[in-house]
Amino acid sequence: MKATMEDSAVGEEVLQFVTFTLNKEQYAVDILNVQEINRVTDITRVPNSPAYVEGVINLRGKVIPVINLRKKFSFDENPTNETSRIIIMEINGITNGLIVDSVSEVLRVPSSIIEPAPPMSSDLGSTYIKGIAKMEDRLIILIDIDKLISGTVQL
Amino acid sequence: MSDEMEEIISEFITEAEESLDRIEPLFVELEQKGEDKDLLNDIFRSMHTIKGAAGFLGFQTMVDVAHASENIMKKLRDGELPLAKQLMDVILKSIDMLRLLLTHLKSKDGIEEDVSPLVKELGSALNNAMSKSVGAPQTTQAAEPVEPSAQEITSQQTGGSIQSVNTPGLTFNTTERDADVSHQKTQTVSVTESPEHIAEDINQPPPPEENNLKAPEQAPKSPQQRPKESAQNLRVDIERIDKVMDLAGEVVLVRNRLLNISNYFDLRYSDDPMTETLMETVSFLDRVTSEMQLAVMKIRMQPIKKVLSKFPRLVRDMSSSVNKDVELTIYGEGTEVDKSVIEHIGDPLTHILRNSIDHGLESAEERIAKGKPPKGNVVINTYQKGTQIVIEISDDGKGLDIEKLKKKAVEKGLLTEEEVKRMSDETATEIIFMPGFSTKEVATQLSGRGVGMDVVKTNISLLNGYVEVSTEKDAGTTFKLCIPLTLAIIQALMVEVSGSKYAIPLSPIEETLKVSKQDIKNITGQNVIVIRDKICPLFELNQLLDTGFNGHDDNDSGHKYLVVIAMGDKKFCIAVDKLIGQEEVVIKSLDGIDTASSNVLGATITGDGKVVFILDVTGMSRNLLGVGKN
Repeated sequence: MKATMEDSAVGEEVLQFVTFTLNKEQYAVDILNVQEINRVTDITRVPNSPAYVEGVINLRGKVIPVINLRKKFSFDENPTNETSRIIIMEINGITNGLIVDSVSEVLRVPSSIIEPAPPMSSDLGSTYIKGIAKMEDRLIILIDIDKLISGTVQL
Repeated sequence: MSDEMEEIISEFITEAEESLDRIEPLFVELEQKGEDKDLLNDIFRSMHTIKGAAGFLGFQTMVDVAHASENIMKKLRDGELPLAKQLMDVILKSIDMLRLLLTHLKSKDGIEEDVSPLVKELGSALNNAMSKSVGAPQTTQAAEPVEPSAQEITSQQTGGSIQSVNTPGLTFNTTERDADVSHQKTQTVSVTESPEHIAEDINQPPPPEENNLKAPEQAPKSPQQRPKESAQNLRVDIERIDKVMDLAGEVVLVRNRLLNISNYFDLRYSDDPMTETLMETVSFLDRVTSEMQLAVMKIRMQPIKKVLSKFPRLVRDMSSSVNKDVELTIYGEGTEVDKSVIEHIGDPLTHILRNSIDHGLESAEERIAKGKPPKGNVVINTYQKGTQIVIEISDDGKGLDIEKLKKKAVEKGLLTEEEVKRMSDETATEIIFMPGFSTKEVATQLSGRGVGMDVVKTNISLLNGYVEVSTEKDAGTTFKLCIPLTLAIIQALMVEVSGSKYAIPLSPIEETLKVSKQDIKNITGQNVIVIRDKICPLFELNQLLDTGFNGHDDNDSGHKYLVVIAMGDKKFCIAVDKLIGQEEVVIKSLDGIDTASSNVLGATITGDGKVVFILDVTGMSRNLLGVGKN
């Protein structure tokens, strides 16, 4: 929660997020972590890997792992379709992809409307939630991508 | 720290490390050759350069160490002190310290080493040596002019080599290598000779500018002077080369795709004249790409000398700790290998050398009793054979005692009596690579703890290479390491199982077989197959990889393809649906994936842009059969 506290201390700082949907919910990741957004291409399954590791893709000659966020968050599985995207992010020098249902928009959020995550049952993956942005008409769940990735792949 | 400063420091570190790497073997050479002015000068100069640069950058500890050892070096160079093992030891210690300091500097860990004990040791070693040599006849300070016609030559008892020549303003010292200082009693022989004759007698006169030689004839330039390193070299950041390497790898992949596409056009539009042009262009691209890939790979190649140069020192230290006199000869140190091989080959070689010196070579008395020369020989021979690099380490020691090996293996519970009985002598030599194996009753400083040789095997197989041992009683043992020239590209067998392709490194594959399913037998839950009267365990690849194998075979042909893998003397088969063929694949690293548990060692990208995993058969065999398990 450290990051959130720091953010609010700065006052009216505006943060930018890439928002996406997952199981009809709105999620967001810090735009600074996002490298690019791709359509879902050929994915090669990794032998003996956890189910949420969807596989690896060929990103212009680099082999990068792709994580299925639905499986990671224990939502119902949904086959990838036209709107599905892979968000390519670089975390701690390692490039990863996240499969999401669809990517919505880039959102500017004043840090003042971000609240720390309420206590939730831990199996909902609440450890990976950095905070919740209270927009006028909806709530957006901000994902702590560092924690998500480091708790998922081998660094 | 500003970027500029950082750059200067990192350059200093690189240069200092190179200097240390370069002069270290010179010490051993010096000990063997006796006092050689050129060598001494070379070492002195390098040490001085390090000191100067360190002083400029403000690394006081480094300056202190370099200065103290330089003091000794100066006395040695100026012939005021005879060469002695004690002095060598402390100077080598100071080199180790400099290395340590450089390591701290490089990792920026801020750890300060206390160098004062070492500086003190260096100082007292110098004082001791000085006080010993005072009054010794050969250390006459060239202060008093002597009549030029009356030269005094001090020759050493051992073989009468010239140990020191006193001419006006000049003292030469050439000492036979002698481990025991007490033997360095010298006999003074006075000879009257013309000065010119003396100049001839001294086989390696120092360069004139380094001392005040007043011989009537200008000393000829030393024939052994090291040729100046060509100025055509360019120091390039390794990251840049790796980048070029990556890009070249990508061009290879694009070429493969283009080849596929052009073949498609060739089939479809063979009557169109442009198709032929396309085919020609692509085949030209194909050739150029292959050449480019080779050229880029050559950039990363370095002479294996980089690793081997530390061994003379290592052997010197090891042999003195077990009280054996060992001579190390190195051939083919100019053989070039990929940087990655250089980085990984050091440890295995050290273990083998240690084994040869500690276990292989006999003590001097034993050797004499066997009619061998008292001095043991260890030879490292490196050469290229096809696309492989071969490193042979041979000793002329007692050889492996097969019976003893077998007995020990049974005692330690590594093998059963049954297994041992069935072993041929050849396969029995593999016992030494078993984890936990040691024939030494007591662990010495050098070896005997039962770790080491299995590390050799593991490390070499990490490099996709293999180890062979040949031994003959009382004639010696030879370890032969065969490693592919580069790690970036490997030959692989492409196979298919449950619709996905996998690559299996070619080196551990013994053969491939097509068998009928009825030949596969099941013994207590384990599938086996009989190959030429030998039972071989069989594993389904899709089970090993957990690719959603449902227990039923989709392939109804009644046949199975088997890939027979040999790891040492153990064999196993991997059953696959299809054999596709042999291919040269570029290994891509897998960041972010736990390769240890997934039985893959990397991935490659095929001509159609798909990712294909390269299977880690070494890891598999470890998991399946317990071969090389730690």
